[in-house]
Amino acid sequence: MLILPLSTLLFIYAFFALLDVGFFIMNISNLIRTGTFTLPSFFATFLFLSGSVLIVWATWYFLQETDWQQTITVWNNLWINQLLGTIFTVN
Amino acid sequence: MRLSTFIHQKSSERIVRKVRRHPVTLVPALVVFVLLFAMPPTVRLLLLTLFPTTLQSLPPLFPSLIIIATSVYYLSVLLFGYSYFLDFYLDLLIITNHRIIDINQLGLMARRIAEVDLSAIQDMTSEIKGACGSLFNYGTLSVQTAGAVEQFIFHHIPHPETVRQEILDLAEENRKYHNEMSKS
Repeated sequence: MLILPLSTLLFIYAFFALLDVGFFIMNISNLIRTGTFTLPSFFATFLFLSGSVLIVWATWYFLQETDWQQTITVWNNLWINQLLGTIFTVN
Repeated sequence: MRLSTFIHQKSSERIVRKVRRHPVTLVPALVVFVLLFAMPPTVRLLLLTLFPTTLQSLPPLFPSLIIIATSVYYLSVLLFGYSYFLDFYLDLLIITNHRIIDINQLGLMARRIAEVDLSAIQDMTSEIKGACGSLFNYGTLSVQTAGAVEQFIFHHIPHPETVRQEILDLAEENRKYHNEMSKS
């Protein structure tokens, strides 16, 4: 049986958020390097940033009540036994 | 950095026109973007309608998992939209009184820059195809050159005929200038 604390999900989320930031930095550096940081690209960047902040804020808002000390069962051998049991049950 | 620095603009050189793909070519990606954004609430609505009891009987941890997964999904969709727009915006055709520079952003980490001197231009063709192209006046511009790269093709550019004429005029002007320079 494989049990993980629920807070592991937060680390996975942080990893994705960092990946997002990394890609954003690459995009911004492309804009700056090519001298195309103009009004339309500024507007697109503003929309992206405000959207990202809104999503992260909404995530935090909806997860406020979560007890991160809880555990989550990722894998249990019993599931396979039960599954095989249901498949191979002889009536 | 300024665009002039990026293209190593010479002192006698002036940028005549900057051409990007027609904005209408962004519409299919915009539709996909909106559909991707609308997917989670649609799926939720479908599940609530088709299996109302199943969602209520889920383990208490499940909503947290769903919220985190949805958040990651939306961040990814937003990043996809932003990257797609920048890919469109960074593709640029710069026409100066000396040369044509084609900057092509290939994804996030690659870029191809090609340029051709106006004096090397041999032939130019503009083509408008399809209902969308005719309606919004965008098409393809092909430049035949005497240089190492024999043909430059620029897709989905607005007003290709005007751009072609403008380049031909500039090439003529450039030729006259070089002739005068060689005489004096």
